[in-house]
Amino acid sequence: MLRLRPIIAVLLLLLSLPLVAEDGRISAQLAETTEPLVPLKQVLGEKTFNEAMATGKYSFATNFKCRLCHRDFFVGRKKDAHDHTFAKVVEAGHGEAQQCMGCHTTGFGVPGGFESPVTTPKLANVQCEGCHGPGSEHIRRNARGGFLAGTDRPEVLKQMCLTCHNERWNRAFDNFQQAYDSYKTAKPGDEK
Amino acid sequence: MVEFLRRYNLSLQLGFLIIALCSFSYYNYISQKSLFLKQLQNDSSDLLQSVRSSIVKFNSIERTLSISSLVSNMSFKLEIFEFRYLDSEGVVVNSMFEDEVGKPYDHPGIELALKQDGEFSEYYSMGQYYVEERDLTKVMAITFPVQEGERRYGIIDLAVDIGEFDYIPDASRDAVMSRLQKDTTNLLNAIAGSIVSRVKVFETLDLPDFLSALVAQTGGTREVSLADENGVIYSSSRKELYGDKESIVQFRSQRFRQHDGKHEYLMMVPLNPEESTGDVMLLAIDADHYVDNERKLRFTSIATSLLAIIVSVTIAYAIYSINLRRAREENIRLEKMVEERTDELRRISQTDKLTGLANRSYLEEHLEIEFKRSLRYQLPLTLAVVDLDHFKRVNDTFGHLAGDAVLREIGARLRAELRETDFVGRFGGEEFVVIFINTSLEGSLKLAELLRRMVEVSPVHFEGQDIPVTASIGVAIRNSAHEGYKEIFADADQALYQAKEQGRNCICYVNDGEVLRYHSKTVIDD
Repeated sequence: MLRLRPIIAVLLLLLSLPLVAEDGRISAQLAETTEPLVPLKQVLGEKTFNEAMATGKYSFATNFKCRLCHRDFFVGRKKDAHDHTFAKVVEAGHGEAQQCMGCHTTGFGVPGGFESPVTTPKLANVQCEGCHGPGSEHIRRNARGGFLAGTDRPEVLKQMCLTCHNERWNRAFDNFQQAYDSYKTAKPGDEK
Repeated sequence: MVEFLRRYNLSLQLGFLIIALCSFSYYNYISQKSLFLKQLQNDSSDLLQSVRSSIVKFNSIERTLSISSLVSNMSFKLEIFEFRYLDSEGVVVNSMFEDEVGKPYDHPGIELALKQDGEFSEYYSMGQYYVEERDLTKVMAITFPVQEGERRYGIIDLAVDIGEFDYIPDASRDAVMSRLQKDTTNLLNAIAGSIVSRVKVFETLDLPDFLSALVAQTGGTREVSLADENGVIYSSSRKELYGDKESIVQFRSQRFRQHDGKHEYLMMVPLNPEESTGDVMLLAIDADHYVDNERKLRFTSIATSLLAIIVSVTIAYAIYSINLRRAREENIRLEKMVEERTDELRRISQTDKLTGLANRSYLEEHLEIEFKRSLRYQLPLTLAVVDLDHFKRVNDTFGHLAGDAVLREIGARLRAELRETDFVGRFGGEEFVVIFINTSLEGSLKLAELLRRMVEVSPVHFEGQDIPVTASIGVAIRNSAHEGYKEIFADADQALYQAKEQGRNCICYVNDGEVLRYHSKTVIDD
């Protein structure tokens, strides 16, 4: 038994390693000194992003507006992990960490996007506009298109996915294309 | 066939011209008319669309009001999650989700609210807020009656999202919640009041008034009527048409009609193509302009056709009269030619070719006429037979051409010496006969002597030669014993024979059956 202690200790240490590694990712993220990530700005490039914002056409409508036409997608996404990202980050105790907001809210860092749960509670979590960009132009057109990262621009949209689902936070999917395709339907497999 | 074509060539051409012009004019009329009609139909169709959409809009406004815009205008800063306006039966009249409209709203709170008023459940109660989850979203909802006094107009179902309250500290949550409820109640009261007042407005404004106003407003529309599936008019801008069944027959069978002396274009269409209610809209559109244009067009085309016919007939008449005149002139010319030819032939038949004097047959004809005339009027008629002496010798000596020349020359001399009323002809050979009309024997003998001298006085020149010629003359006058000119002729012949006997180049005559020689000094006692 005594001989086993060091082995158990080593085993325990080894078993706790993933937890340490987990904490390591969070602390590494929190320790980032760069500007907090703004996925839309990163994908479009600063110049294009600023130009688009300067037109004044783009503002966030929230998923309540999306629901009026895309009710099935609204219900489907309510069950999806994306709709719980802000609760997750609050649970983890980093609800006010700027370095996390880019991937846990809708439109953080974008004019009119998420600022804080008090001032902009309706833009918490990653909603429709979190990936597709502001929806005001789409609503105004009342037709396909009008998004900065719409389904009509799949390469941009895929980049939007990959800014958050990056090397550090890549556990969300094993096969990107499969996961991407599953989000084309209203109910992407009821994942929590 | 060919003969027929040739004969009526001009008429056929003109006929074709008339037909071509008339058909062109008719074609023009037809095409212009269809163009006008198409324009009228286009205009009418635009008008129809606008009138129909106005009526449909009126109907739908009456049924649903424009609550969506009302809500969004009044919701201030409230984020409305769901809004429904139900009629008093619980059927959705207006909703954010269009597919719900017209169906009963399936919600336990509404069901209970319809069954009984006041407190009907522990949780759901009319006019009380409750919290529930809709579409996986936590909301605060209320079932709110729209009513005035005893009358209930409808029910509002309203939900406000309260998911964000999770992020509000527990201590301040109640205060925020109560403020939200207060704002929402204010909104509901405003909406309810607005709905009540609007419904009242629509109740006082009826469809016929609206239709009259529509006709008055929409230029070009004369009548708008609505008829049910049995063709009975239930609403119309012309109030006298209420319950009318006859009008629709007109609309079914005619495109145009006259009403109050004005022309109208009739259209009949389903009131609302999307709803198969069988209601039809009858629309009478001002067609005065069209009819006026059509009339002008018809007049022009008829005038053109008539003009074509008149021009063609005028041309035909002109050509005909020109031809007629030309034919007449041609006739006259031909007649004249025939006359001239006839004259010529007569002259040729009466004339001796060589001397140009009357020939024997004409001479005898003339002699017979003159004989009869002298007998009838008891006038003297004298005959002188002039015969050239030894003419055979002239022919033999100088040739036949010379003989001819002599005869020609002597003929001319005789003719030149005689009076106009005297007649001279060549009897044959070298023998000439002269007829003296209404001349005494003595006068005739003097003239015969003149003739004899004219022959003798100078020789006839022929090709540089002088041919001396003399003539013997026998003269006889008609006496009562003569029964025909031949007898006078016989007497004259006898006298000539005597003159030849007496040495030629002299005159002998017959007087009272006795043949005597004439001397210029002889005095004849008639």
